[in-house]
Amino acid sequence: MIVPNALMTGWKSKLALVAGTLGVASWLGYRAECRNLDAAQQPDSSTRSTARPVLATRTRAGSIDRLNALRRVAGRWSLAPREEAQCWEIIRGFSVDEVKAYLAEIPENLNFQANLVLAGMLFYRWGQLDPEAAMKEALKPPYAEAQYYQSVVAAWMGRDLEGVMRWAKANGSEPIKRDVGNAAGRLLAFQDPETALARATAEFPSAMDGVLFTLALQMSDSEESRRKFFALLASREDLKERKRCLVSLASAPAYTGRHVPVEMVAELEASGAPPDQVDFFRNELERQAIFQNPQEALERMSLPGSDTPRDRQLSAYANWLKYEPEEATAWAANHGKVDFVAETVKARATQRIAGGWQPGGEERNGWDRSTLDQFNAWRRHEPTTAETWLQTLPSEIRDHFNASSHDATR
Amino acid sequence: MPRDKRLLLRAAGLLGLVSLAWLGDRAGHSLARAGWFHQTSVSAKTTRIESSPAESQRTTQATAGQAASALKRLRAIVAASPYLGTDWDAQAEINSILAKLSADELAAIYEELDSGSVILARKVGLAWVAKDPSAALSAMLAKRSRYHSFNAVVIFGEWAANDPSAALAWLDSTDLPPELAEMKARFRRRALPGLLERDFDLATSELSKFERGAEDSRGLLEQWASVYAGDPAMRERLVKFAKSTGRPDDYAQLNSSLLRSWPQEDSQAMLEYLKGLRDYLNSDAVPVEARPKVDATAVGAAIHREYTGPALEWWMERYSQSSETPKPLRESVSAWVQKYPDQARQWFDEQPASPQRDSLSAAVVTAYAARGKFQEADGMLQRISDPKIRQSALERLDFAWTQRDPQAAAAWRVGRGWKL
Repeated sequence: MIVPNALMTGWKSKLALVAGTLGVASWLGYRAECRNLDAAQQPDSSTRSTARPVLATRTRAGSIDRLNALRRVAGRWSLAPREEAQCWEIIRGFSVDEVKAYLAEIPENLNFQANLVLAGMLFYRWGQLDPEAAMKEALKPPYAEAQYYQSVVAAWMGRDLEGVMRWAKANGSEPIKRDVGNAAGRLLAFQDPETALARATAEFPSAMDGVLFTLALQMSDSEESRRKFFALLASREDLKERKRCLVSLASAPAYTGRHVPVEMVAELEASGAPPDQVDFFRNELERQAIFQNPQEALERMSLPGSDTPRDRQLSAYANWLKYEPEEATAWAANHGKVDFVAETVKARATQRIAGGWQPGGEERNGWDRSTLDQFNAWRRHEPTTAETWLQTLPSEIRDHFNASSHDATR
Repeated sequence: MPRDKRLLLRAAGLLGLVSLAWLGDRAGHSLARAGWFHQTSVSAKTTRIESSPAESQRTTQATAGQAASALKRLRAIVAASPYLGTDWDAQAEINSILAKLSADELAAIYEELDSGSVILARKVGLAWVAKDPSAALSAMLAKRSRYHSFNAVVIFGEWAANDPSAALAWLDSTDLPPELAEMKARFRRRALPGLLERDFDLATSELSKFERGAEDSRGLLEQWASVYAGDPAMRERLVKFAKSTGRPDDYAQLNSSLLRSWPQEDSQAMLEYLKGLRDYLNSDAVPVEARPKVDATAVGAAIHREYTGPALEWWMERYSQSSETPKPLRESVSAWVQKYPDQARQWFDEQPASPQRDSLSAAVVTAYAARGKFQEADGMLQRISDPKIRQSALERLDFAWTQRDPQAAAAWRVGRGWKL
């Protein structure tokens, strides 16, 4: 009885050992691959199991069907944001072979928005797996024109910034160096503002603008940090580069949402910057303010005691008018600036008439519609002056203005 | 020997176990790649995104701390991404963070975002709109900056792309805040272009909801016509629809854009289409009062495609006694004269005097004057016999010439003995 029991025990323990080994190894393999997939890391293609091709073929066919279905639903238009997320969910699990296979599957109509996005995702995925090969393909027709190299860089830079910089320095055309340089510079400054300039100088000079742009944004928020930035600026010899830095600093509110005080001009002056740079910076700040918040900028410019020339105020108004014609016209009329409205109407009408304006019916052109609306606002506030001016126009145009005025009052 | 045999057996057993472990490991990898048991983090994220309408019911109270912490993470992702627009992992990560936030938390984050965070602001806005559209869109407009007002329209468009029936039903609801009710046409205009191919009937039925017709739809039919000009099936559906709306201008605008965009390699089909169009225009299908504009738009488009002779012949048969030329035809004739001046001069020479010839000549005077061809403009002016049309053309020429060269214009007036 003892012998059979011992035999039984031995058999059971061996079976448990075999099952345990199989179970633990499977679990470890499974977890490792899950981590790979979650991090969208490259699966180890050199050690594929014999079962993999069968599974991969099945999943590949399913994936491609799903992608094609999403692509066809979008047709000639963009994928919905939700569909984009679904596509990436599929593509992020692709191998290089699958990426290549689906790139070949996308039809020649790369100008269809959905196809463009899908090809971008495929290049991004390829960039995660084999960036140099992906880059080589992205720079060939028909992909080169759509700048898919940016998708590859986006994937590659997150993992190996030095690798991308090395590649771009050795292989990139000037536009690519500039483009990759800007992105790399931003990342260098984000990673370590203290060493970013030195790293850009040593590793990839094309990244300098990106570094300086990011430092300008980062250092715009306090007088102390701006003082350091101006000192840094003074140490740069390239005058064009200095101007680009000042443009970046002036654009900081647009990027950071932080209010940047006009005292910055005085701070720059105090740092010993030459007068032409100070003037350049002042104008740039004003230009940015006009673009970002034209109403606030106009109100500041037209305060009593403001030395902003009238033509610059008028140009700020014209800029606002392009984007928000109703608001701009109403503001001018309510703030004693009807002359802005009048001058804009005159300038635009003259330009359009001289350019062969064929007026008639309902104006579908936004510019012309807005000109007619402004004329009506002008006529409401200064009927005599507006009418006198109208009489100087050819009768055909005069009739058109009058008809639009009639429409506006209906 | 027995000892050697035992050793051999143990070695074989060990080897077997190692092989088994390797096979197990590979099988585990395969199972994971095949998606068994495990949902990757992104698929979980996407599932959450898909269930966002249901999540709109979530009543979790927002806390400033949670929003601030999420915003910090979001900003770090954006800062670390070289090109966020094509950084799909970063975007998936952002989606995943946003999917866990309540409407209040999303509102707090959106409020903090500036115009430099374009993609992030759109993603936050989209997540928020899906949960609480009126509050989200009103808040975007309330920020009172050009950027955020535009963003509201763009974000509505993205919501409509994700969930057209919910977005369009919201747009039709009667309790919209006034500032959003005013924007209805812009929202709808943004939602419709891409909807046509997904749901033709829904998209075209929405077109009829623009209160001020073509003025509000801002060229939607033309946009569709230009996109689908090379697709016979869609072309046919669009034409059928445009004829059915009861607004002749819809059909006119569709024709204009369709003919201008028709692929050159399909010119036989275009010729057939033009014949069909002529028959349609010859019928009583278009109401009398709408005919001049509809006809002029079709003729203008035919001239653009260089079917000038037959198109103008047809036009003159119908309108030679009218002194009005609708704008689309004036524009096409002006362009034709610039492109083929000799051919155009010959055509004008061959036309018997008529009010319509005068009217077309006046358009040509304006076109020449705009390009500084003042002598040619003057030559065309001499052919106009209708005194009113001639005076109007004279004023256009004088205005343009005086702007460009006042002395030459004055000399011309004196030479002609004209006083304006």
